[in-house]
Amino acid sequence: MWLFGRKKTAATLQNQSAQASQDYWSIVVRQFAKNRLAVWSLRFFYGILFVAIFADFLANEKPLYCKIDGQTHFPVFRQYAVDLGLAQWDEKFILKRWTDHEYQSVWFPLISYSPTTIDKKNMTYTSPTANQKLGKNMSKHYLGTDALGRDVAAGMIHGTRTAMLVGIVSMSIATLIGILLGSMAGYFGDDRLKVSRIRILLNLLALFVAFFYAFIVRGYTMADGINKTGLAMEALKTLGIFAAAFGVANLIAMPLKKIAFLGERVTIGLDLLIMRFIEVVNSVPVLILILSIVAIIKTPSIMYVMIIIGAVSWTGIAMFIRSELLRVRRLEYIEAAQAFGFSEWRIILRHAIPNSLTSVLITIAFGVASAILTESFLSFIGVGVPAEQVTWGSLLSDSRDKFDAWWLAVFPGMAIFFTVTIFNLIGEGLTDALDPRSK
Amino acid sequence: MFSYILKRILVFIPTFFVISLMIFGLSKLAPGDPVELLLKGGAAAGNSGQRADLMSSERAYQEKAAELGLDRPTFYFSLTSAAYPADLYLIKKQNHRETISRLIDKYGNTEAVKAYYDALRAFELAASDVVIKGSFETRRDMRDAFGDIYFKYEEVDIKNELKKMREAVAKDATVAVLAPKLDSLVATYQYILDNPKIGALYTPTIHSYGLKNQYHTWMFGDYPWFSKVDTMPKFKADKLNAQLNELTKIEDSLGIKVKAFATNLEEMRAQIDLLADDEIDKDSIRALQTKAMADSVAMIGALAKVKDDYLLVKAERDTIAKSIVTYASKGFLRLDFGKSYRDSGSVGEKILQALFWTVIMNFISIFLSYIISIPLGVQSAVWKKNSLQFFNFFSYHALITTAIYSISMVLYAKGVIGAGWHFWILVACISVFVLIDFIMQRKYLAEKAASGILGLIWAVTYVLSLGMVLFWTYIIGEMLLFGAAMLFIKSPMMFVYTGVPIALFYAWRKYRSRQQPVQEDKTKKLWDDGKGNVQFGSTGIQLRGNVLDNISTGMLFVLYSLPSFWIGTILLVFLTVASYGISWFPTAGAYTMELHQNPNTSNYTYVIDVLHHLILPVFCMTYGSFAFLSRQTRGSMLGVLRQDYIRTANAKGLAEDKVIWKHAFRNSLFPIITLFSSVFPRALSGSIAIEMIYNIPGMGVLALSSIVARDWPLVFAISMLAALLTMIGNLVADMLYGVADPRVTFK
Repeated sequence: MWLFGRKKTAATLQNQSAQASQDYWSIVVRQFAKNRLAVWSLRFFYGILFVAIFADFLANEKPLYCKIDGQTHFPVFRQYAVDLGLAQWDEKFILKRWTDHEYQSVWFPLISYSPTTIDKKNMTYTSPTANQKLGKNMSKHYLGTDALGRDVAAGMIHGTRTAMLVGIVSMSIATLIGILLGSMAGYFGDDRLKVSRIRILLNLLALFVAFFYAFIVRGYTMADGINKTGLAMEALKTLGIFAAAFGVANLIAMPLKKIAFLGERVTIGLDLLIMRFIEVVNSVPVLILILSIVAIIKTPSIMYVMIIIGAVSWTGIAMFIRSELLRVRRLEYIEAAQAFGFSEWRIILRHAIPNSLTSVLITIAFGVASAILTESFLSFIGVGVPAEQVTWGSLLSDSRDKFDAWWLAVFPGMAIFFTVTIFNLIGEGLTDALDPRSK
Repeated sequence: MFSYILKRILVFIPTFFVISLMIFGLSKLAPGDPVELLLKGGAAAGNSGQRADLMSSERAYQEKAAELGLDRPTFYFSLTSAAYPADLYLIKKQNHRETISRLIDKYGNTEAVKAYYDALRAFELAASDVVIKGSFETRRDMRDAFGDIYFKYEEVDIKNELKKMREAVAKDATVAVLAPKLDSLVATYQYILDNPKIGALYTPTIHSYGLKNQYHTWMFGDYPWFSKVDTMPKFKADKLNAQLNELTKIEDSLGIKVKAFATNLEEMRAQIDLLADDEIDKDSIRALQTKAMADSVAMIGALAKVKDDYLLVKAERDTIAKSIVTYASKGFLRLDFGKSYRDSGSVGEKILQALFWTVIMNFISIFLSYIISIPLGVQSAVWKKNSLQFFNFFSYHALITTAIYSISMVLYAKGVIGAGWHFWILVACISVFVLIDFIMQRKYLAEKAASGILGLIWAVTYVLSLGMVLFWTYIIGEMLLFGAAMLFIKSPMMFVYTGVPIALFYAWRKYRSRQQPVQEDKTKKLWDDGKGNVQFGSTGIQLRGNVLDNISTGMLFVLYSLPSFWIGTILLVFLTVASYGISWFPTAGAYTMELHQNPNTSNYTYVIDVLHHLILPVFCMTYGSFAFLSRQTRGSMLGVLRQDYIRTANAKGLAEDKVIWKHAFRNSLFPIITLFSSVFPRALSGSIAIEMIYNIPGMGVLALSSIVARDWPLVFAISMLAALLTMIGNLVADMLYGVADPRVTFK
């Protein structure tokens, strides 16, 4: 595009493509590389990812390295061990602020504040251009402070981590659901899924039984368990119950299928069912849906926000992959695979999906952008995200309390805008690269 | 087509019900008790622990629950373990129900749990009679224990509460009567612990409840559909109630009079005693006194009669009241959206009020974004297609008019000129701008006018909308320039300083264009022609088509990626507060309160005031969809312009205008129509942030606040409305597909 002119001439590109391999992915990569803006966005994305992963090393109230009373410490690293329960802090570190120690030598991170560190000397909105009262070992508040004296730059760096986590986790969930449902709808369509009567019956029964034992018998146990040990464990247990019920049902179905009446195969209009489901999810505006699901959660956590965003934004991916598979399933190589007698699942997973996955990348790229936008919006309006969690959205919403604090309005918004733009640009680049006309 | 619509609606019905089930399910999963929520505001539950208070608070709870339709089973059926009784919903209080089902879930022995609950309630009532005589500490301890024990289901917690009660009872001799009752309560609890029936917990049971359930009431209502409701008893009861009120009033006034008489009589008697020594006619006073006494007796008689009447009417009312059937709701399908959990207000009315602002804002916003984005998108695609052609841009007249207006804005902000001048300068600038545009396009417009009035309207709209885009783009650009200058250079010289780089830029472009004299001629020709590919301005800077396209695509991309809640905040921070020197817009609300309340305000002033308030929010709502729409239009237009039939049309020698609008545009309408289908539902939720930032009481804010406050009837109504609107949007889109492309059939 017009911002970054094409550096390579057409001739050199021609030369390159003559030598390069001709398989699909390398063509896509090559097409993508032609779009300078998208390539730069990808590089910036790596940069943001770096900030997100190493946020603790960039902005932390603890020093990276320090020597005190002749002992050498690496407090930032030690924090990880403490979080895992492998180590404990010395008493002196708990009792005294990190900046107040008498170090023999010390190496603080670039920004010597955690997002929750309260700088009492620079409370109530200190401007980045103002004369800041900085103590020993304290870095400047490059982007100012908020009402409580928390460093905005530190909040933004750790907010990057939240944003990336939300974008990636929620889109992973959405992709998983979307690909599963979309590929089933697309591949089987309304005519291809033929299941024996007994299997339908037993699976429905298994659904009922699993629902009963997982949600009704374990209802209270689950609710308490989520509060105590976390969501993942309970989700696993629930999944286990469902898997066991369906496993048993299908095992029983195997011998019973041999009875003529029970074994008769019935066609299931899977496409119709799944499309109806998608219609239901799409009928309610995503934001209202997310907000009403968030409202039923007693203790807000960013984890739930990720899951909910993922759980409602899969429809685009599903529709995409469905239309793709409706096309793919008529191709010869799928017929060949069927002729080989491969199982349907193997054909879907090994043959059909990989060939339609690239187009899903576009939806994922745009999806990450909108997930980040949704999360920052939720923390902006203060719903679903814990109050003490510092995110870009929460920093931005602070600016509404104090209009004079322009740094709170400008910088977090820039971060959101920048990240969203990057993902949109990557999506654009992918769209262009995957467009068959552009080859 | 009719049968197609019918089919679509039929298909939608199950979806509609599934959505209703989904939202209903969410509302039932949500924590919090709506009845408690409502009662907190109104009649607070008596907390003194007396029997009368307990009973009355319970009755209040029950009445509220019945009013909201919450005193019924949740759904048509329930799937539970065999241990759960079918009639658990008869326990009125939600938190009590929760505790009981927790206990059942733990021990499985339903009868024992029920016995414990009954014993607990009996004990509470018994205690309420006795505890009142006890010491302050006893009362406090017992009240705390009763407050907590209904929420406890863990063994440790219950035993702890029971221990507290025992200690309280043991300490105070006046309440020692309770000790044996407490013992029996402990025994019932111990019985649960000793006799768990875990087996029943693992057996599924389905209880069916019929039509009298919460979902049915919510959706279909319990008000009869066909049979006429006998309103006579209610009418009578209302009448009797009014009568009762009257009687109460009379009784009160009579009571006061009687009291006054009594004191009067007392005074008289005292006076007579005082006067005893003087030689005044005592007899006459005595006569007066007897008369007054007689009056008083008569009055007391009247009072007694009124009291009797009151009791009579009351008895009659009570008998009638028994025969009145109260209905919770007419149901969603009969447009009875229920009552808000927050203040018992009607949901329908709330939505209507909120809808007013949302509809106004969205109407303006949608109208603007469509009318601007379609020409711009098409133009951008044309620029891209003719990428080697030069187009006129940055014409002098545009720059000069916009610069004048920008300067007037700055002067207005600084207080040098008043609002009137400011307004008239805007009018003048726009009129000059538009006039020159029209002169430039005179032949184009004339050509269109020849084809009929519709053609003229279309051409004028087109020229105007594209012109306005440019006008306001320049204004924004120049404003940024002047605004930045104002922050750093605080003297009138800023105009000169900012003028220098512009002048230099112009000089450079002029120099460049002089080197390519061919284009110079072309602009001249354009001016003489008075028509062309919509060129704006007399002479100015010429840019190549692909450069123009890149600029517009880039700008649209940036606009599209800018989060509206950020831009909303930024504009709010920088344009409405005096601390940055620019407070052009009001900070919050949809209108000025004083103006709204003042009866002398003319409609004109009011409308201007509202528009002034809505400029920023509408801008924030518009730019994103405008950018998105333009991009979509451009994309689909480019796809069509590449087609062979466009080349054919060009080769035939058709006018460029005709090719673009007749051949290409019509075929690129599909994505625009698809987007139009989501306009209605998006209007409900899309403006949450903007309405929140600018404090406008619209649908978005209503939705957000009701979700946060767990006001489920409102959430339910809004979501269902959104689902309906989605369906309508899809239907409209389908119809429009048919209009745009005759090949689309509805079969």
